[in-house]
Amino acid sequence: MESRKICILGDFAVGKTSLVQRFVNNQFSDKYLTTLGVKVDTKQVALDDGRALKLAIWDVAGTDTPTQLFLRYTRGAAGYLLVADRTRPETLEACVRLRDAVAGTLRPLPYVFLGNKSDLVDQCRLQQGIAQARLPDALDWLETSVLTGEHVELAFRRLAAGMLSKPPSQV
Amino acid sequence: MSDSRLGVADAAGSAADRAALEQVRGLLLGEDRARLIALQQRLEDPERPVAELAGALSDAVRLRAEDERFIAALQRPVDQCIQHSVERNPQGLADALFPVMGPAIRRAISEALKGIVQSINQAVEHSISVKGLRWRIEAWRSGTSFAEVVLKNTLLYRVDAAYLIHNDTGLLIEHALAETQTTLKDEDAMSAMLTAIQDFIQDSFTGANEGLESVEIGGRSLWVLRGPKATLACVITGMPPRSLREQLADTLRDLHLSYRKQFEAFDGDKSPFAGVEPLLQDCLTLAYRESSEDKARVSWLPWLLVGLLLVSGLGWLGWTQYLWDQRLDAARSRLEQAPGLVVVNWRPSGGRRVLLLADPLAESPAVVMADAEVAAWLDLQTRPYLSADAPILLQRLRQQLAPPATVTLNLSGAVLHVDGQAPEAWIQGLSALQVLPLGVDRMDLSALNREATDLLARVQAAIDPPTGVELTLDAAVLSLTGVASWDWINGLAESVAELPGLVGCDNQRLVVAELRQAEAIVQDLNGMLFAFGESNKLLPDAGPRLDQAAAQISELLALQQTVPFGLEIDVIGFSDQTGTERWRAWLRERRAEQVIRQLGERGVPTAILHPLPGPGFEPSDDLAAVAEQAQLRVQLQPVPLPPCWVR
Ligand SMILES: Nc1nc2c(ncn2[C@@H]2O[C@H](COP(=O)(O)OP(=O)(O)OP(=O)(O)O)[C@@H](O)[C@H]2O)c(=O)[nH]1
Ligand SMILES: [Mg+2]
Repeated sequence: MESRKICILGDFAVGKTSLVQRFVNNQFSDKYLTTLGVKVDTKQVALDDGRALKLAIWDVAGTDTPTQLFLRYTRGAAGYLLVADRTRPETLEACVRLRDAVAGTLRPLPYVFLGNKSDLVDQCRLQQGIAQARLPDALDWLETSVLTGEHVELAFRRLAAGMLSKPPSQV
Repeated sequence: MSDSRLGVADAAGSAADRAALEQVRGLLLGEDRARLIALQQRLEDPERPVAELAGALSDAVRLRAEDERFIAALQRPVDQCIQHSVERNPQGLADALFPVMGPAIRRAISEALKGIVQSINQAVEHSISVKGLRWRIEAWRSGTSFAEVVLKNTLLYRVDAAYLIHNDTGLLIEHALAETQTTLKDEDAMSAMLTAIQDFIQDSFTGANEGLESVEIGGRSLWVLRGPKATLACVITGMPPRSLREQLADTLRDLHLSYRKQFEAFDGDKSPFAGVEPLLQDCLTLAYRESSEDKARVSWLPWLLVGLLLVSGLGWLGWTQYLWDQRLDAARSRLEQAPGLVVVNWRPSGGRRVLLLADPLAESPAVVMADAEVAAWLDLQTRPYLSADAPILLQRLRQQLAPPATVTLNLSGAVLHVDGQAPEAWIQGLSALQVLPLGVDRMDLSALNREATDLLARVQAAIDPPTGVELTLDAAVLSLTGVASWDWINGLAESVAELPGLVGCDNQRLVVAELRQAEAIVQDLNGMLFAFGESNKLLPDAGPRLDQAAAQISELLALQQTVPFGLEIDVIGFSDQTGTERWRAWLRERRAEQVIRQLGERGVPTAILHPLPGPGFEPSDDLAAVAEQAQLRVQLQPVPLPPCWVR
């Protein structure tokens, strides 16, 4: 079976670890334990065309500025999920910075943008339109909620499908 | 070809034709003509292609860099070039290689040293065990070095699993497991985390090109060998030798040689790595070594225990023997120091027998040794003898001479000093001795006194009575009469106590001389009057009386220092019948106080003076009670005589 390395990138506390936990173990916790360095989980996804793909999901510690170590961790990834917290619009700018750094040092990788914490409807101040304008090259822009599980699975499938249809070697 | 034809025409034609032809050519070819000429010149120039080739050469070589045929074609000339260069100027190549070779050699040496140190450690560890002894014999028989035998027997290790991990993605490319091993829960996550850790370490220790080399997990080690493109991680049980690392590094190098391109292109598709698994399997088998001597490993334990028991047993024996010897020595020195005992032969040939000379008056040897166990263990044999040791000699003299209790015998050298008091008869017996006792050369009787025969005389001598005291003896009870000083009376009990023959002493008829003196003064003082005029003013003739009274009271106080009699002085104020009763009472009080104050001014401590107002209303037959005066009333408390001893 084929496998791919993917990364979850984004600012602090936007819900990266929560996303992975929801996707891998179908669990949610409202406790916040910041990730140190990186934590890797694996999960197999079945694609629509019947193929299966094993994902090595690198949950990288949140940061708003790409450090040397951050770039090391993203090296070799086939694609990534770029996560923002919809209740904090400034996390979108962090996403843009991280996207630019990855594209600049490695090569443009396929990615899916996630506006997370969509369940906090009253507090959502980040509209998808803005994200689309700032990150026009994303494969997709999804409104997710780890709390409800909305679009979490979809996000990973969309990325997996995008990676396979557009293998990085051809870019 | 066309040129040559033109040439023929030229030869035939005129110069005008040629000019016309040139014109036509110019019209036909235009600017191309100049280019043709330039091309012709370039073809004719031998230097030109070389210069052009030089420009294109580096690009051309780069284009063909991957081409096997090109590489093969270059190989020989390059080899030759290097060979030639080395032959001509070896120093140049050496200089060029030095920066590369230096670290490589250093690394190789340090690896080799690590290996040696490890072998030495193990050799030392095993050279003192029972097993080590056996291996020594084996080494001696087989003619190999001891270290080699140790290595052969001890390096028990097994590579349980080998993982090949892609550096860039951290994905697991392939892995191999020994049959006994179960797979990890998530090898992919493990490889990714291992890669992340390597990344972290390389990032943290900037400059260090080497990352994590090994991790200890319980009893196992995880060896990590990092290549440029892929990492080989091996789980190893036991004690692997350093050389295993080199073997694994070789495998990793081979993998890089064969799969370099595949490593570079790897994105998660493992199909190009079909041939890797057997290579990883080799990693497992090549290091697998089991020793049949494994069980011998624990056999040293019982030996060690037996040895320990033996050593501690011997130690205990030695210790108790030492303690026993100490006790014997102590007993011997006590015997040697005891008067009247001589150790003639102490335990000849280490036996129990001890031969002693013992004076009959000496203490028993068993008692002297003060160690019943030692005394019982020893076989004591004593021979009697007469000791001249001073304590024994004195004891014998006491037995022989039987002196009375009042006589003391002392020896200085061979001179016997006889001191004290003795009855006449005993002294005569002593002087009449024909032969001096054994051990005595001379007797000194200068301090020997004849004992008084008469009890009274002895009492007299003992108490030395002052004149005026009379002694009478009645049935050995002494009675004393007369006047004596307080101190003498007090010392009487002591001086009389030790008198032999006296059974009692009665001192109650003695009079204390100081007390008698005091009583005389009291008699004089008592009733002394001080006349007042009106009110509380003393009449002038009171002055000398007050002086006298003060002097006498001082005398009494001085006597009181010796004899502790109690002294009480009341000063009584009086008044006549005139005036109101309140006035009179006040006057009496003032008068008594006045006398006390006057006496106090003359040095009498006022604490012993008590003002006492005289009687009031009642008509008194006492004349003094109605006079203008004050009166002294002095009393002595009687002092009991200290009891003399009564037997
Ligand atoms: N309401 C809500 N809370 C969320 C959601 N996703 C995450 N959270 C909460 O947000 C907090 C941070 O989540 P994490 O997943 O730990 O954030 P992170 O991005 O991994 O943070 P770092 O590891 O520090 O970068 C936690 O308290 C989560 O419970 C969501 O969709 N809705
Ligand atoms: Mg996290």
